[in-house]
Amino acid sequence: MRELEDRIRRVRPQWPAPGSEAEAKARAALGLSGAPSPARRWLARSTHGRRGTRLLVAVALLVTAGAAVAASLISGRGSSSPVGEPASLAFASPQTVGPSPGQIDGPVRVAVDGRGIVTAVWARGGRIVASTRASDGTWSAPLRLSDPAVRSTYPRVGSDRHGVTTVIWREATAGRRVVESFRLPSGAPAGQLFDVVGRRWAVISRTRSADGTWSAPERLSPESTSVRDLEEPGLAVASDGGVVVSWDLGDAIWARTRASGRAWAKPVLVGSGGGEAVDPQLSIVPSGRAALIWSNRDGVGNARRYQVMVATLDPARGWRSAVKVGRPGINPPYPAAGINDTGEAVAAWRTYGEATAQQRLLAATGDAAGHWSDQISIGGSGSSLIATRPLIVVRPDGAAFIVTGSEARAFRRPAGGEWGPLALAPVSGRGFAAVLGVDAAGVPVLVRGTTSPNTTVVERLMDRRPASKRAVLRGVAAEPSLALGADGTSAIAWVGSDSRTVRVAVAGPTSTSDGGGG
Amino acid sequence: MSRRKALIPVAAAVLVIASVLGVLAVRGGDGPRGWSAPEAVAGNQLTGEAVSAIAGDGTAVAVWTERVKDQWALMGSDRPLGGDWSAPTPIVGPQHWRVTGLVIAVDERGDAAVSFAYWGRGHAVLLGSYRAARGRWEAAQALAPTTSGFFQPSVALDAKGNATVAWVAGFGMGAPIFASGHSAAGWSDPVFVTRSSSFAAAPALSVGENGRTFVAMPAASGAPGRTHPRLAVFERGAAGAWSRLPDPAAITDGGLGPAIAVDSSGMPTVAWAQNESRGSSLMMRRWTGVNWGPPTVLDRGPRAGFGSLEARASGAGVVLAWARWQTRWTRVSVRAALTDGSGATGGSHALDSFTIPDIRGGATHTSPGPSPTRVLLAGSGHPIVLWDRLVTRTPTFAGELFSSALDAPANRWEPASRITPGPLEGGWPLAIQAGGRGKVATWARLMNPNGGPIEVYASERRSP
Repeated sequence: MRELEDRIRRVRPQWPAPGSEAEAKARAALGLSGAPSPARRWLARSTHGRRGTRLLVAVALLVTAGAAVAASLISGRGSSSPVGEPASLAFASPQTVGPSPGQIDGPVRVAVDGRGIVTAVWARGGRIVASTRASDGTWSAPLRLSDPAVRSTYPRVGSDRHGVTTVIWREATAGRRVVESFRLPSGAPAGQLFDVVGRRWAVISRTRSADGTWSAPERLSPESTSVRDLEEPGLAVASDGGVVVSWDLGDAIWARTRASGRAWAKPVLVGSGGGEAVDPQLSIVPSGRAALIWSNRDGVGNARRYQVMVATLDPARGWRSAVKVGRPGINPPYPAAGINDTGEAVAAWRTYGEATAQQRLLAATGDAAGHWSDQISIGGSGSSLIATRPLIVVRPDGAAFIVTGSEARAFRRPAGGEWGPLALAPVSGRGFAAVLGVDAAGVPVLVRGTTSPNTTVVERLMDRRPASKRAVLRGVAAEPSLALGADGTSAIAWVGSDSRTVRVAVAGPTSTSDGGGG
Repeated sequence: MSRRKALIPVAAAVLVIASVLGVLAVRGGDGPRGWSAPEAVAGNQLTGEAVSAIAGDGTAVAVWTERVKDQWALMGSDRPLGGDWSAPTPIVGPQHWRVTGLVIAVDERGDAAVSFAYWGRGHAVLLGSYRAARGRWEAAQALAPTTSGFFQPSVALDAKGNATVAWVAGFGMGAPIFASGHSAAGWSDPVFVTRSSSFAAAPALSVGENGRTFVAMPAASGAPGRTHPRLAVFERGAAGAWSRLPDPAAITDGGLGPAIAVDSSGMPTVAWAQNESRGSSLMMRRWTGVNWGPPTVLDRGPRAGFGSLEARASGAGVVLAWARWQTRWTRVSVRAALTDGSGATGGSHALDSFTIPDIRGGATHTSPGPSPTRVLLAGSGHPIVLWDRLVTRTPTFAGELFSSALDAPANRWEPASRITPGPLEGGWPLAIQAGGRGKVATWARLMNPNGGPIEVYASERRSP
C-alpha cells in the first residue's frame, strides 16, 4: 500500500481531481459514506487526514474508471479537467512598461508563466522588444530581441508552466535599397524615389529559459521572397510546454512544433488549397491539442472566392489532414477556431454582403474523429454581428462559447446541444473591443473594452448566467492582449493612446498553483 | 442599229457599275455598318494602363505600360489610316518604377505628348515625353517634384505642336495645381496655378490654336477659414504665369467637374453641371475677353445625374458631348451641342438613349451618382462622339461602342452606329477621330475580365 501511495503521491502534481460522479461511484463501491467532496477540496486534502481512504478512492478509480481515465489521472495528458487556478480579477492599476523612444508598431502581446511571471513583447521601429514583470511587480527595461539591422514585425509570445517563454516574429532577412534621383527641366532637384528589392522574410524564434537566459535567434521557416507570406505568424504555447508555430507560404499553411525540453521538429505542411493561403489563426489548449484555421483565396475579380480550411493537432499523433469547412464565400471570412482536450473543435467565420440578410456568423463543429458538420448560421444577421473576428472557447466538457461583434454578442452551445444566445452582463458605455480566453480552471474569461466611459471590463463567463464578478479597469484600447496563468495570474496589455507606451494590468493569483499559459 | 442593240452597251455599263458598287460595298468594312474588323496592337506584355489619341489624318497613337518580371516599361505604337499597328517602341525602357497615370494628346499633324508617373512605395514623380510628328519619342523628363500619393495630369497641344501638361499634385483639399509646357526649347519647370478646393480630378485643360491656354477646376474663394467653392478659370500669360479670370460660377452642392474648350478666336467656353434642389443642370458660359457671357442651360436631368462631359473646339465655336441619366439607374441619354463663334447654341441634340442593366446590382441603398457611360469627343472640323452602352453586368461588365458624327452640311448628327462587332467584356473606349478620309476609333479590353493583361484595338470606317 505504501509503495502505491508513494507512487500516487509522486504523480500528484499532474493529478487532476476526479469528477464528482466518478468519486461517488468509487465511494459507493468501497462502502464509504458521505457526499462527494468538491474536486478542489479533494485535492487539497489528499495528503491530509483520512489519507488511506483517499488513496483507496484513487486506487478504485484506477481500477473501475477505465484505462483512459486512469491514464489521465496519472499522466495528466489529454485531461478533460482544469489544470490550475481560476483567473484572478484583482487587477492592480495598469503600469506603464518601459519608455519608448519611437512609435509602437501594432499591438503588444503578453504571456504569463506558471510562476506568475508576465512577459510583454511589442514591435518598435522595426525591432522586437520584450519586458518582464518580476514577482515583486517591477518591470525590466525593454530588451531588444531582434536584429537591429533588419526590420522585424508581428511579435507573438507564449509561456508555459515551467517558466519557459517563447517569442516569434517575422523578420526581413534580406533586401537591397534602390534610390533614383530626379531633376526638373532646369536641373533643380525633383526629389527621389526609393524602394527595397530582393527582400526575403522568415519566421524567427527566441526562447527564454526559466532562469531568464535567452537563446540565440533561430530561423523556423524557410525564407520567402513574397511580402504576402509569413504575415502574422501564429504561436501557441501549451501549459505543459508544447509549442506550435504556424505560418502561411503561398497556397499552404505550415507548422512547426516543439515538445517541452526538446528541439524544434521539422516543418510540417498542414494544408493547402487553390490560390493563396491567408489569415491563419492558431489556438491551443493546455494539453497541447491545437486548431489551425485559415482560408484559401482563389480566383480574381468577380470570380474570387474564400474557402475556409481547418486542421487539428494531437500532440501524440500529429496533424490531421486539413479539411474544408463551409462553402466558399465572396468576402474575407476572418475565421477562428477553438478546440478542447478531446479534440472537439468549433470553427466560426463571417459572411457579408450589402444586404443585411447577407451579414451572418457561420459556424461548424468538428468531432473528436475529425468529422466536420455543415455550416450553420448563428445569431441572425446584421453588421454588428460580424464587425470583429469571432472568439471561440471549447470547454473540456464539449460546451462552446463564441463572442463576436463590435459590442460583444455571445453565444453558447452546451455539449451536444444547439447554439443559443448567452446573455452577458451589460457594461456602461459602448463596447468596441473584445478578447476571450480560458483560464486554467476551464472557465472562459471575457475582456470587453468600452468607450464613454473608457473602461476595460474583465469577467469570467459562468454557465447560463451573467458573470457575478467582474473587474473594471480604467482605460481601453482597440486591441488588448490577454494572458491567463495557471496560477491564476491574469494580465491584460495594450498600447497607450499615444502609440508610444505599453500599458499592462496584472491581477495576482488568489491561490497558489502550478501551470502556465499565454 | 436597232433599239435593242443600242441598249446592250447601256445594260452592260449598268452591270459593270453595279458590280463595282457591290465590290466597294463589300470593301467598306467587315464590322458593323462599315467599320473594319478590330486590329489589336502587336504586344504581348500590355498590362496596367493604356491610352490613345488620333491625329487629324487618322493616325492612331497608342501608349501603354508593360511589365516584364519586376521591370516596368512605357511603350508606344502608331497605326496610320488603312494601315497596321507599328512594332511597339519604348518611350521608357524597362526600369524599376511602376509606370502609372497615363494621359496623351495628339494634334492634327501627329505631334504627341504623353504624361505619366513613376510610382514607388507611396511616392510618385511626374514625367512627360514629347514626339514631333513622324519623329521619335524624346527621353522622359521629370516635370514635378516627387509627392506622396499620385498626380492627376491633363495634357493638350496647340496648333504649332507646343504641349502643356497641368496636374494636381497629391490628393485632397488644397492640393496644388501646376502646369508645365513643351516647346522647341524642351520642357519648362512647373509653374504654380492655384490650389484645388475639393478632392478634385485632373484639371480641365484646353489650348487654342493660337496657343492661348486655359485651365478650369473647382477652387476656393474668400478669406482663410471662410472660403467657399467656386468654378475657377485660369489663363496662362505670355510670360508663363497664370492669372485667374472672374469666376464663371459658384459650385453648388458638389456638381460635376468642368470641361473647357478654346474656340478659334481664342476664347474659352466652360461647361459644368450643378445640382439644384430638384435636379441638376448642365451649364455653359463663354469668355468674351472682358467678362463671361450669360450662362446657357444646355440640358437638365436628375440630381447628380450628369456624368462624362467633354468639350472640344469645332469650327468657329465648340462642340460638347455628355451623358446623363434619363431614368436613374436604368436609362442613359447621350447628347451633344454646338456653339457658334459668339457662344450661341442651337440647343442640345440627343445622340442616343438606351437602357442598361440596373447598376445598383440589388443593393438596398445606393447614393445618387452619374451613369457609368463614358463619352469621348473629337472636334475640329468633324465633330464625332464615341460612347459605350453597358449591355450586361454579369458575369462581368460588357458593353458595345457606338458613335455619331456631325453631318455638317446638313447640320444634323448621324444616327448612332455600332462600332464593335459584339459585346466587349471588360472593355472601355480610348479615342475617336473623324476626318475627310474616314473615322477611326480605339479601345482597350482586359483579356481576362477578372484582371490581367490588356489589348488595344483600332477600327476604322473609310469615307466613300
